[in-house]
Formats: sequence, structure tokens, C-alpha cells
Amino acid sequence: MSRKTGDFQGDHRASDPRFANAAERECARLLDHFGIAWQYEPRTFVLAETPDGAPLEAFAPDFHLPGLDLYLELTTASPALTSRKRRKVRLLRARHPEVQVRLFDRRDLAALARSHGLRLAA
Amino acid sequence: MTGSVGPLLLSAAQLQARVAELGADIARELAGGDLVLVAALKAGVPFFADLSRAIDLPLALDTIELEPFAAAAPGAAAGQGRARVLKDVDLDLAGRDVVLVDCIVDTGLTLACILRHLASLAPRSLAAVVMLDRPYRRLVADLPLRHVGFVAPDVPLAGYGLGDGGRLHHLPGVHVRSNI
Repeated sequence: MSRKTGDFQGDHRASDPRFANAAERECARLLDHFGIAWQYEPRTFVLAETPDGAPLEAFAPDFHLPGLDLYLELTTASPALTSRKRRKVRLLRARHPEVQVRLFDRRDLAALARSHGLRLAA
Repeated sequence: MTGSVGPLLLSAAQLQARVAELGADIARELAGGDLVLVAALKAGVPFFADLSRAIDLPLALDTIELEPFAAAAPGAAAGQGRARVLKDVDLDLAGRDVVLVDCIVDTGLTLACILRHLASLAPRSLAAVVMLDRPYRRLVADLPLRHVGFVAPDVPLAGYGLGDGGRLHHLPGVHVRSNI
């Protein structure tokens, strides 16, 4: 369900987590650069359960920024395919209104590439 | 990455009128203080130059430059690397009222990093002023933004310190960039 590879913070000198794509890796480097601590997929949120309480659907946002109390989900999918991620973010907000979560889609990542020089090609 | 200058979004006259308002606000709020304006190089320079002349108070000027992410080693693994201060302030900021001046705030990462460094120099007060606020991808929510000139639309911009690796920074107005 989760690709969790263990907690990892930008302040630590450790080997890379197994990032899913270049955008995630670049985002981690960007956060490191600006001294923002992060963890990679540290928590999986249950979004839906069966009547007997077993997890039916879950969501593990890509990054948690503990110093900013913010979860960050990245997607490089086309706008049409991003709707699945948007739905998960909506469900997460509905079930856990105390959780701050942001979705950065392809357009957001392109803006980051322009403003900060992220290298998004794999 | 290059692009053309598109439609004018904010004219030089609009920017200068807002600079005058911001300068008057800051002068009123920091009257009697020991004001130091610090420009975030390089994008903050045009706004910094204009704002410094619009504040009717004795003040000192200084500059700071943070290593941009784009200049960081591309091969560095996550967990490695931290932005260096390429040009630090020259003045002693301890006990003084410091206002960081930049052209734009977007994610807030750059501003937060510079503010963290300036805070370590023990100023009496520390705030930031930006001409343009683009809050659509804000990651750092608790920035001490004392004043904002305009909220900018979520489009690429050029002029007044922005655009195309510095080649459009000199434009006196803010334009939408096209063809990027």
C-alpha cells in the first residue's frame, strides 16, 4: 500500500529513499537546499474502511515537512489523470481536517522548474 | 529557459505609486527605530532602490545573496547540500530593525532561508516586504511579511527584478512572459 522506506529528513546524511520519480528527488533536494526538514512517506492515512473496519483505501502523501506541519503530494501525471490524486487529497482533508496537505501537480512543478531551476527530466 | 515579454501587467507608474505608499507605511511604523533595509540579491534590487528613497527616515542599506537552487550541485543526493550565503550583510544588525526587501515571494523557501539567517544576527525586529506576492504554491506559511505591493496572478512574469535569468530584470514595469 505504501512505498514507505523509513523516515528520512533532509538534515540527515543518509542514503536516498527510493523516490518514485525525478520530481520527487528534485523536490527533496530543493527542500534540503533551503534547510527544510522532510520525511518521505512517513504516514499512511486510511481513507475508507470496510463495515468491519478493515482499510479499504489509503493514501500516503509523498513528503511530510515536520517543521511546517505540512504534507506534500507531487504528481507528474497529466491533468486528466491527476483527478485521482485530487480525490484522495479531498478525502484526506475531509477525514482529517487537522492535517495540512498540498498537491503539487504538473503545472505547479513546471512553475517550480521556472522559479528555482528544478530538473524534472528523469 | 527563455521567453518573450508579453502584455504589461503593472506599469512603472503603478509600481512607483505603490512604492510610495509602502515607503510611507514603513516610515510611520518604524519611526524612531534603527532601520536597516536589506536587499535580497539580485531580484530585489529594483524594488530596493525605489523603496529606500521612498522611506522618509534615516536608514542604512545592505545586501545579501543566497546561492540559488539552480546553482547547487546537480549530482548531490537528497540529504546533501544546503544553500550557501554567497554575499552576507556587511553591517552589524544586532539590536536593529531589519526589513528584508525582495521582488516576489512564491513558495516562501528563499525568503524563509534568508530570514532565518538574518534572525541569527540578533536584530531587534525582523520583517520582509515584497512587491509581488504569488501565494499559490506557498510552503512556508508563517513568513513575517510586513507589506505586500500586489498579489500577482499565477503566470510567469518579467521585469522589475524578474525573468529570464536576469536579462529582463531592468524592465520598469511587470509583464506577463510568453512563449516559455
